[in-house]
Amino acid sequence: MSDPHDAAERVADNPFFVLGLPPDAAARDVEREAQKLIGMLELGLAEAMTYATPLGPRPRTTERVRAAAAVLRDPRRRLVAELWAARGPAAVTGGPAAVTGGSDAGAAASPSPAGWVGALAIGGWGPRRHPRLQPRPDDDREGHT
Amino acid sequence: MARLVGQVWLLIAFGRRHAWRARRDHRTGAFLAYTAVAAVGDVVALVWSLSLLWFLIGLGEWLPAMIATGLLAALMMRRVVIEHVTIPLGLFRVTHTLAELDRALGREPLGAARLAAARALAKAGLPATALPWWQSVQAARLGAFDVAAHAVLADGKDDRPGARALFESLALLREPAPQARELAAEWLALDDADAGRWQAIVDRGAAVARPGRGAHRRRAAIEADHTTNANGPAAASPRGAAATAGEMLWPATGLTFFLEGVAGRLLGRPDAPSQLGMWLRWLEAPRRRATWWLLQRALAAGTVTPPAPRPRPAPMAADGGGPLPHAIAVHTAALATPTAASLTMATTAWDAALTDAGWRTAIALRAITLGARADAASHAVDELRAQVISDVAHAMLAAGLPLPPDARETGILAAAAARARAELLARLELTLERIGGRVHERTPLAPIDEWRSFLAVRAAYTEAARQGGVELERLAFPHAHTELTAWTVWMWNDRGEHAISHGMTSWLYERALAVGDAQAIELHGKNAQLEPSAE
Amino acid sequence: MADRPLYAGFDLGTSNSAAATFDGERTQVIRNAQGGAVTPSVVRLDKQGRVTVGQRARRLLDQDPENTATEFKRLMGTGKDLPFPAAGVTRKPEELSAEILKALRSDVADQSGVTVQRAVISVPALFELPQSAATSEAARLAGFERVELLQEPIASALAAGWRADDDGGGTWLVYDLGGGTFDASLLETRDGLLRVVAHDGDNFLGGRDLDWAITERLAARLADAGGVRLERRDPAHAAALRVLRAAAEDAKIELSRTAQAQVTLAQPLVVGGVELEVDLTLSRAEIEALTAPLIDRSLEVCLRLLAAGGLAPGRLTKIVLVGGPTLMPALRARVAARLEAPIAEGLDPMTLVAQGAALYAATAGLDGRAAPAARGSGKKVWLQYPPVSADLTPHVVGRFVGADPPARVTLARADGGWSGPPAAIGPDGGFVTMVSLVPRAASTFQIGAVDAAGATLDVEPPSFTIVQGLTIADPPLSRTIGVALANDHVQVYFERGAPLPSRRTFVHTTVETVAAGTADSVLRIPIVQGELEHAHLCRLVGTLELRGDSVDRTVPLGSKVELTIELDRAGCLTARAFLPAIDQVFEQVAHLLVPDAAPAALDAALADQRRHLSQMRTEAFRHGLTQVIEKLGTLESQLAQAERDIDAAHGGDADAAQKARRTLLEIDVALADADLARKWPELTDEARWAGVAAVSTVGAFGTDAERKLLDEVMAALDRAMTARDPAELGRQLRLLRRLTNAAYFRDPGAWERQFEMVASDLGSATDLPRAKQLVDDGNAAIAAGDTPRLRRIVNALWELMPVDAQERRKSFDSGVR
Repeated sequence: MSDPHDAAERVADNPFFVLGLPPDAAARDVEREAQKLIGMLELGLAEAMTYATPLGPRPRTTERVRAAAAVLRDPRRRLVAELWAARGPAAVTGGPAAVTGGSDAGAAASPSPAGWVGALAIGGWGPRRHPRLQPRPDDDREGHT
Repeated sequence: MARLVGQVWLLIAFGRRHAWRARRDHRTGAFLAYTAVAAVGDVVALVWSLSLLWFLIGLGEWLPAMIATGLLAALMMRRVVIEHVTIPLGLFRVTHTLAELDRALGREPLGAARLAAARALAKAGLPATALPWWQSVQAARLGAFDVAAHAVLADGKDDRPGARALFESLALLREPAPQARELAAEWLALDDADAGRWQAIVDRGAAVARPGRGAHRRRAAIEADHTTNANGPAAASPRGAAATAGEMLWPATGLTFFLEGVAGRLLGRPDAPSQLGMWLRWLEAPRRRATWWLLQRALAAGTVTPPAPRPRPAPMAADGGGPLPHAIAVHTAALATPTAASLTMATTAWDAALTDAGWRTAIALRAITLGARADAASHAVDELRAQVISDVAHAMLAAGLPLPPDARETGILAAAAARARAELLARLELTLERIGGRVHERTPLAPIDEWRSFLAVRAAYTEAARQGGVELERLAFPHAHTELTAWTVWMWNDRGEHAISHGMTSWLYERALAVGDAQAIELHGKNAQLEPSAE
Repeated sequence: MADRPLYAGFDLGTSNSAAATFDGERTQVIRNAQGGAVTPSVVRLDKQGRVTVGQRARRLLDQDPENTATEFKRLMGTGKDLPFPAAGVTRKPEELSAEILKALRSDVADQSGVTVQRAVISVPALFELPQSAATSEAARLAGFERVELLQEPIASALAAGWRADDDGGGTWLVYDLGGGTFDASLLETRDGLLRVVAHDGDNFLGGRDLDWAITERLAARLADAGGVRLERRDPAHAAALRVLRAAAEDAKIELSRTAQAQVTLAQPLVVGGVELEVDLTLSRAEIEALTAPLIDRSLEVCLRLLAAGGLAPGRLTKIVLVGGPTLMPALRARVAARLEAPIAEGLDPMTLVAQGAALYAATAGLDGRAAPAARGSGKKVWLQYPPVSADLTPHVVGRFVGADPPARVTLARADGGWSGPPAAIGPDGGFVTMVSLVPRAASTFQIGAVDAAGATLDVEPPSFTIVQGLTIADPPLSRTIGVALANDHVQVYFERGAPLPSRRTFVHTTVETVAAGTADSVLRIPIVQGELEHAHLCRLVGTLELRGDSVDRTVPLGSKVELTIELDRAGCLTARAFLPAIDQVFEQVAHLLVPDAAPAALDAALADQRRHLSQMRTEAFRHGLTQVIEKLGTLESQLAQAERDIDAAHGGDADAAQKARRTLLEIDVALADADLARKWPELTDEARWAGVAAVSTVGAFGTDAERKLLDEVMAALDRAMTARDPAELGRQLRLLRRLTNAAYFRDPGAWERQFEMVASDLGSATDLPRAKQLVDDGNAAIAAGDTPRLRRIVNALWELMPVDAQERRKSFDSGVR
């Protein structure tokens, strides 16, 4: 229960999306496609580098391709993957805003006035190494795998 | 002559003290008046000193004149020297020695000197060579000044969350330590301003208890609440609860007072200062050049109307292809931006999808095609359901959404809420057991690390109680009570760390009141009345 | 010959090792200098430190057992040093394995002319990480540049499948009874692709156990004949038993052909300076009876495996037998009968694994030859293709290096039977195309390239070869790897069957504070291997430590830790923890060895489990839990087995010690299960009684608010009982007790009753004189009607009562959740 990334991974790392195959692909096609993609990735061919997911394009790696093929070789796990792939890899329409339309979006969602960036540094605080005003690092760090 | 000197000294002290109180109580006019009184005293003292010097120089006594100048500077300008010379230059040893002079005058405890030295140490870049010296000046027991000093050091290491937790924790300590609190108030206000948490600045300003009023009344209100309504006590606002801890939580300084004004105006609050008030606050605050544009922003903010309500986005269009693809689409969108509304939407979609017969028949056929085992299809559906519940529960926890009440109904939302609730409790129990184990084995950490551990536990507890509501807190409290009480007792009885032990107890008392645990209220109430011994 | 690839595979066995090569067309078993297909896994170091390996060392095993080592494979990863007194040195098991590998490698060089640099080495399916890592280390010591490990059953199935004429799919069972381990694997072939459905096995059941069974019978017969009773626990008997065992082994081999065999000793049997007269015969029937229980034990594993795979015994397509002991006719017949399936004929059980390893080396592209230097002057192209492919039309991916690549490439099979359409070159110099293979043979393809003007260009390399046949896509991980969490659960990183190499990252949260600059403030992240739910029952394979003296800022509890674990095909694990709060990375993994099993520690563990078991039995009888009682019965017999092994461990048998340790761990798992089955009814009973007490107490002395809360708690208690959720039940129970207590002590008589209760249990107080004093004071207080004082006294008395030591630090002391 300690893994918050599980959910996004489950949607985005669906084996069918990783391999770019439809849920009814034959076992032979799965192997053939996985072998091709691993070859392309090993040689660094650009067209194999990303794959489409409902959460936007993601980087494809040989590890992901291997793992995807392994899941699809096991009929039990493949069935679950087929269920999750039922919608296809098209990005979710409407974006994030589309689902916040509920009645209780409330005060938390209303924008707060911008902050006084670098206030602590101006106030003479913070480590000595960078005493001057600093841009705040971007909060939207890339989710890792 | 001596009497006259004494009277001027008193005049300065009187002016300063009242100016400080005025600022705390948000009375700008009074503040300026008292500051002026103190300034008059300052001027008189300065004139005297200069004439004394003039006199000595006139006599040709250069050596005594120079000694006298040094003494005068040390005595009168000590504060100024510390603030503007030794701390910015990172002269931690000099800072400590100068600040300790106060103690020679019998005025301030040593803690303030350590705090000042910590600031100088942070400015010096925390050289490793200074560590033995720093250890040597530490007190035997941890007090409010030391907590603040550690916060300063954490800030010096760019450990903002650490500094924040420690500065905020001053609210739990009873020791007055005005300098530490002023420093904390300024740091917290600056950090909030930096992140744009203007509301937090306003809240902290309002949490300042006015003398003779607030604190006692608030505590009485909570107790009354407890006796009249067993279900309601947790509703006691965090601010009210915080006020029970001490009389002067967050003193206003020139800087915080200014930032509070800015925050009030930016948020368009009715109690925000007027244009003139804003100017006065700016004049009173330090670093006027750096804050100039902020002042301009605040002055401009008062005139604009609050932003128009955002256009409500259209509800998500149903995805073609039946209930399962639709549920997946809504689910995916909800995971990207989890809110109570989006998750409710997703779970409703799942409830519909999981009862839909169409695709379940299809999956059974697929299982046969793939040559899977006989139970594979139903296993896949069960797993899908379990994964959905786990996803939604995680999303609730990760986004810190308040959990829907423990309804006795079926469906994905209720199952996910139950899962999230169990997870919150289990996490908390694990942490508590670890602490309990350590206390049981009597494995000590350094006092400041004990205090940080407690702050982390408290943060986890508060967050769990906020998400899970009073029902969850009632379940969590007995365990927290058992383990943490043992901890406070150990810290008080065996280790003599009265200040932090008292801090823990007063927090436990407040939580006992909130859940209405009669035995715990009695125990912690009594323990909280023990005065932590001064340094 | 130099033109053909050379793929080498090594089977590093417990008693025998073998090597095989594959050249793309056929496999060849490598014979050693003595002409044998197998080389005994025996190493001898003489006085001068000279190393003798194989058959010659085996002959010396009886004469000079002190300086001759065998069966060291079972000690791989234990870090145990084996002494060679004559040379005055010690050697680790991996160093001895390296000697065997060196010998096999030079045999390959003798026969093929190639000193292989890259190879595949087989390992038992249930080898754990420390054991796999030790095997890789052995290969490194033997001078290999790169090796991959392959589980033995996959190797056997690959070799068996490669030979099979029918290409139809099916489910196979590989029954591998080696010298020291038993593995059973269920494999499925479909479209020429081999997949492991499930494994099972017993790391401590092997031909060796059959030999011991026979040896013990011989020893018993000697004792009956009036001789000395030879005991494995007695170090003085070790030499004599070894002689007897060698004789038993010979007799066993003889009996696979004849019905009656005379036991002949290679050396006189000397016990305590007296030579024993030995005149014994063994019959085949006798051996069958002796070995039947052990074979049945292996069959139980097989049936369990079939059940796990959802397969009835009759549904197997074939059984592949591997390992020397499977040559016994009795065993073959018994296995075929019980599993109701045909045994694959015509396979050599002794070298099958090595052949499979060689075949896999081809699949993995591990050509044993040193990488050839670039010769040609043509356009350099990097190629990616499966060296072995089940697919008749696999993809070939290529990328031209350097500026101005050709415009088009065309691939054509060298036999002229197929020529592909021209493939366009992409902007990054890459192309993807399909080729057509000749079934069950090697196909060589020529690369033809033309530039934009249509002129032919030279390409380097000019051609490549693909073999069509049975393959396995990725060797799967045999045991789940995860991180032990503080709540004794396991966060799985790599599930059993996951393809390797692999890497995963999860975010954990610390549950302890790491105080900066404090050396003894350590946060541990234990990495474990195994499929069991409770972390402490899994095998610890490494620990990542975050030490207080290595952080410059305190890491408060509740901090995030991003942990990444990486695992390669050679069994090498690396872990990396990143703490965002302090922006620091930790990579120091303390790689663990298989825990040492000291006989004394085993004795203690055995006694502990025996006590636990009898305790549970009493409880189970009291509550009438028949299921639990049954389960405990089987555990009894397992405990008896463990005891026998511990006896042997006392006699200096390190291997038996490991086996005993394993058995005890298994019993621990079963006990934990049984414990759970027993505790639930107890907990519900407790909850019901607590409910009754609460209703009456709170009813009498509680406030209105408390009564209202009680109703809610009682409802929640019911829900927890229906959901069978012990954690939730425990929480509600705790709340219920607090409610009850609060109400209870409002009763003026409550403190007096409490006082009586504590006073009656005075004997267990930690400080008796003080307790007695307190009781006297208490009586005085009651007489005086001074309730507050009585209350203080009762509290003081409570503090003198012992607290149940809780099992807090169970989960390898994990500091994360």
